Amino acid sequence: MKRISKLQIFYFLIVLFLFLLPLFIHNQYVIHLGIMTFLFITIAIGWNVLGGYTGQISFGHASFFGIGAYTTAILWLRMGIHPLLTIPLGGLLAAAFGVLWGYPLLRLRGYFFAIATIGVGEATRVLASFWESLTGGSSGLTLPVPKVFSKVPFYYEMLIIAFLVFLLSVWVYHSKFGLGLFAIKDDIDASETLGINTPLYKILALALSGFIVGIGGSFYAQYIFYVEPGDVFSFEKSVNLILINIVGGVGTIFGPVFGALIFLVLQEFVLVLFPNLHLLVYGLLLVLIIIYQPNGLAGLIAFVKRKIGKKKRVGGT
Amino acid sequence: MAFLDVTNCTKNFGGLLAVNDVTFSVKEGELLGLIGPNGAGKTTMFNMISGVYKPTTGQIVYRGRFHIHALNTHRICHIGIARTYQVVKPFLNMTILKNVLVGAYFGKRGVLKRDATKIAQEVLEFTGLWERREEIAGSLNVPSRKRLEIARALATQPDLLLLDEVMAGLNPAETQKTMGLVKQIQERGVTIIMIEHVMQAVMGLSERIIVLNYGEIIAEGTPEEVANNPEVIKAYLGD
Ligand SMILES: Nc1ncnc2c1ncn2[C@@H]1O[C@H](COP(=O)(O)OP(=O)(O)OP(=O)(O)O)[C@@H](O)[C@H]1O
Ligand SMILES: [Mg+2]
Repeated sequence: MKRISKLQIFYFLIVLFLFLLPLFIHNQYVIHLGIMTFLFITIAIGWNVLGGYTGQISFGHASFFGIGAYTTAILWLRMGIHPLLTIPLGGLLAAAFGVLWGYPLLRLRGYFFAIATIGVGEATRVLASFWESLTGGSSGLTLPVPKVFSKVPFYYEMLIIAFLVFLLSVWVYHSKFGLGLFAIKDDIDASETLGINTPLYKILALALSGFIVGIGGSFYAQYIFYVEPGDVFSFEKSVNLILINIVGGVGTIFGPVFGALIFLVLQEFVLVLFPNLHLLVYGLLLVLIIIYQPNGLAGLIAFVKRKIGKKKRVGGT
Repeated sequence: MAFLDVTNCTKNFGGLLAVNDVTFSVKEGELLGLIGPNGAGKTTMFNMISGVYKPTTGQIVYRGRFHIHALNTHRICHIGIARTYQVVKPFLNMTILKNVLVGAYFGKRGVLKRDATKIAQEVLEFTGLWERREEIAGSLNVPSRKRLEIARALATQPDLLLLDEVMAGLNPAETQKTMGLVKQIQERGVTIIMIEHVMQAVMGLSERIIVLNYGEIIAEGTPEEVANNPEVIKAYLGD
């Protein structure tokens, strides 16, 4: 039988705590913060699968978020489909969209790919603003807000989504698929000569990445009851996903989790105290991390753990 | 029909004929040396056999039925052709073990985790890297990287192995070790083409040697024949 480690108990307690939280915290603002944290963790993981695992840096991931959000808004508003049912559709459409532009653009290497994704993101936003008959144009779409409204169901929805997406990312990290992605990130030529179908792997990573972010967008639309191109397709959103991952640790399992946590804490608390200063604080953190700890907070924690482990071994025997 | 047939192969880089109308064949199980001065086109030849570049003209046929130019690079690995890079390309952020696992997992189609792990362990023990499997490739020195390059290629379980200057930069003791390794790989039934500047190594190991100069074959034969060929001596010493 496998022994249960202290770490596993710790993880279990955290998850348990998150599931029980709404039972003893009735403050809607705290619940809202929880929801937004889970959402950002989810979409940051989505970005990490392509940017962190595969090394294909995208500045256009808001396009997936926006497509997910609009899928839900349009299907709900125009066709009366229950919003929860639209979540997988939002993900799938985003993934399909990723395959569409990934097919030509993933041939580009390094910076060229990154720059091209800026174009994809912006083009999608502009398209959404002008395609009024479908998207309601730049003024967006307002969704029907129910009379009785509690944030708690949304809390559980998003918690479960974030949890499942996290588990998926852990599985990918340790799988054959993941090994292929990390190989591509390190050296695409060697990967190809060692038998990896690199174009296929890159496009699968992009599709999965888009799927996850699309799910996030779909949830966002039904939670906020309003979608607008300037919000869901914003360049800022794309950039935030990158910043979150850099601070948390690009290509690590916990990077997007830590990064999203810090991002939201800074945004909420520093923003309240000193409007707009949160970006400055975040920028500062970013610079420090890039200089001193390129693997982000996840790397820092691994480093500290190794140090402690060494001390223990030295002291213990 | 031979194991590998290279027929009238030419590679033209914008007017520069890196390989010019080269024809040769390789028998199954043999160890063929490929030598020539710097810039002779040796690596370019490997790049064409392993599918990294397509020949400008000519064709390469493997086992009489696989037309290399019609296959993607990763497919060429799946049919049993592996190579090392002259400028080694390890996965710098991975451990030695992970590097080799990539080859084991992807080299042939449909390899399962358990099998890949077994292959990787076997290859690492064979190449003497097993004890060091947890070291990160980025922290290795050149000789170790060269060895890892061989191990990773072997993990794909090739039938034809292309070794591009795996002895360059090694000291005499390491060279001896690598020569022993190459010999053992051949004894396992792997056909080998070896590019090498270390003459003692090519001469000692090869059954047959092909000499390239300015993209063309100028001599072909046993090590003794090649070493005594006036054309070859001229190419190496200049006129
Ligand atoms: N991708 C490329 N683009 C343009 N020219 C190239 C390219 N690859 C090789 N060449 C040129 O082709 C010629 C043959 O190069 P190649 O690398 O095959 O030589 P080599 O025999 O392996 O030499 P060395 O012993 O120095 O490794 C050289 O003149 C080189 O500059
Ligand atoms: Mg060369």
